[in-house]
Amino acid sequence: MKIIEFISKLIVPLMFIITIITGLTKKVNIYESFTEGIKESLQTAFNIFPNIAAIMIAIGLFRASGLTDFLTGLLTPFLTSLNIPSEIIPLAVLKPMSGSGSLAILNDILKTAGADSRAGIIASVIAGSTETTFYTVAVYFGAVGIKDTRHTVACALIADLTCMITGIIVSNLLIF
Amino acid sequence: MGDYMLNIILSFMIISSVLYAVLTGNADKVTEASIASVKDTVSLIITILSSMCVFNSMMKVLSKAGVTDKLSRALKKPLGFLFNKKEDEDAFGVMSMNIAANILGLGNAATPFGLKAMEKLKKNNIRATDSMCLFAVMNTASLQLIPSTILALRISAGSYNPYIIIIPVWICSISGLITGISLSKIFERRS
Repeated sequence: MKIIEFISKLIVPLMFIITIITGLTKKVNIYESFTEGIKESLQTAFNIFPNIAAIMIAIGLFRASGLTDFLTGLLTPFLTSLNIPSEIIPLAVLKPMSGSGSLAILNDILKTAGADSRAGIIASVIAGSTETTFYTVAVYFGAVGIKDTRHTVACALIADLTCMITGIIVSNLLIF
Repeated sequence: MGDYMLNIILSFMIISSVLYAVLTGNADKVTEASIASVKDTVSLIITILSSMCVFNSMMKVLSKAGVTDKLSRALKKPLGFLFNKKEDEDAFGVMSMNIAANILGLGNAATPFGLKAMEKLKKNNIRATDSMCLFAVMNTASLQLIPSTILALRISAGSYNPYIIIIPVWICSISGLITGISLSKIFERRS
């Protein structure tokens, strides 16, 4: 684990050096390339802003309205009967929508239920293996100006659900 | 199927949230929450923009030096299994850099590479191509070797064994990735 952590810290500094040296040996104008890259980045940021903002408004309203708590309440009896700790439900509901929001919930679970409790471990596994789906889709398709994302959201959400179910099963098998 | 998925989800989320807020006496929170969300988006965009500027600059140098083209040609076989060998080949270089950055947990680098790849996959298409959908799905279900943020939270919460989650996370991520890829392939054939 330590080795991988070490490599991942070195990779960006190395990329800088390799990039500049390769560029210089191929007689690429480095300064011009940098300014072009930055100009393109500004354009992309400009393009994706509307898409992310639209999604964020819906997510912000969803969270502020208290609907997450309401959904949690609805699902709790069903899930406790399946032996799934109810603490993880807000995480499962929020994870596809908000990265920072779900981290806050995970932190809360770790502090209250304990990092080594069943809920704490399942929540960590779910938070570590799923992505903020809506945000990713909005950014990726927003960057190329496509509104019709076809089957992307459906596939991504089912993949997230698979991660969650596997997370519960694997945590139960490996740890308890 | 899925044509207006975001459209439907967005409308449904806003209507149900506003109705629920009004019914539970939280109507005053609606304005505040919606404006705060856009404010969050602005700071989010600044974060993304900053890392895009750095990594796109590097990418420009590498692509002018011919490195990304070489990488694309080298990856034609492995990525050709999932993507269109003929049409998507010039995107393979940036795609592989996006995948590598995701696995190493370099989220800041993964997004700029991923967005470049989407541009290259798009070419002259107006609609989302099968490859674009598949690539986006793979990015929503990517494997991260060391889930460093989660580990940091576990350590700060005083866990006895913070690292116990790593292998379960790999298993889950891979199962999600396989599900995402297979489903995308099934949808591709049907449309």
